[in-house]
Amino acid sequence: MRCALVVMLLWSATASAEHVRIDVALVEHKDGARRVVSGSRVEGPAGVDLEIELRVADLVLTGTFITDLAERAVEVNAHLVSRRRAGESPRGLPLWEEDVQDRQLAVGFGEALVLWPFGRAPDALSVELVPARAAPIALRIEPFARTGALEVRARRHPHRFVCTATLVAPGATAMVSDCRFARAAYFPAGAAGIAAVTVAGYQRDRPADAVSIRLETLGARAMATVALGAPATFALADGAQLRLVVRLADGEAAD
Amino acid sequence: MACEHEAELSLRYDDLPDALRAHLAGCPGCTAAHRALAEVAAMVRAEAAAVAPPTPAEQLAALREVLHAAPLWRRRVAVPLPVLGGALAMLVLVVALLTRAPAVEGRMVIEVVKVAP
Repeated sequence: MRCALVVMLLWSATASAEHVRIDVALVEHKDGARRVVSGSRVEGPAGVDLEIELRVADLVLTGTFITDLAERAVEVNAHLVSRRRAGESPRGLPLWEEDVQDRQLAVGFGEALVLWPFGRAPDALSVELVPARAAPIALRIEPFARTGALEVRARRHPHRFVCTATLVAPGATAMVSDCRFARAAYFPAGAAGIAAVTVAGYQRDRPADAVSIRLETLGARAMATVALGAPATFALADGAQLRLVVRLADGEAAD
Repeated sequence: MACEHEAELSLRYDDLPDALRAHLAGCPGCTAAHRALAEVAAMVRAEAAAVAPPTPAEQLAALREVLHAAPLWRRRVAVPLPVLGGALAMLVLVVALLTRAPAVEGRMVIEVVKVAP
């Protein structure tokens, strides 16, 4: 018992020691030279999520980077939207070109994630994310360039959950699966086939934190926001129902 | 000079009696008619030769050629195989060009690169 307690304390110390630093920089490329024109350094516990917003004239980029620390890399789940003004409609309303991409990448220490939001060209802008290991520190964002064209926001909330799904039917058994934030977990859903369950949002709240759950089956989609541990019931095909309960995984802590 | 065979010149040249054809070839007054009849006769022979259907023996030989000379998988291919292969390769090339990653100019590009130490 004492030995187990020591192991748990050691594991907890190791987990708390996992901190990362991510430099987010807006780089201007011109005539073969590169210059950092804006950026911020984000430091904090591993699993920090970044949101960036870039506005340059009629160019707009918004991006969400959900990060998780792996053994030798930072796993990045990126959702990116770039838009540029493309003119006006006959009614005088603005028309936009939009490019939306969802990517999952592993960025090693010693590597950089480079994003060319409006195409790669000799004279263009890029956004670079460079991860590194860091000493334990509370979540902090510090700008390191003067211009504020690139806005960086960061937050940290749990990424690992345990989802329990139960078909509301006599004799049905509960199905339990690990759920990662913003990644789908799959459950059998009777006549509806397979249900994809995604924890799509996390809200600090009282008396308990809440999660936004997205459920997708063939031809149907539903969302619900419920407190951690509280059941959410979704209607399926043929009148069936699926009850979902989301709890934090071991090692994750609510607010 | 008058010709006593004038009424018979409308007959087919090939059907004329030999004596009459000999007369037409030698009669100075019939030279024009003889030349016209000879030309018409040549055209009729050429047309008859052009539209003549193959004989049953020729048809049988052609059928045997199709059935036995060419392998089964080639019998229904009307286009020579090298031409077909070339066209297929061109099609693959065109599809690859059209569906390749769009030009980096304009579209969002995301990549992971090494950082210089």
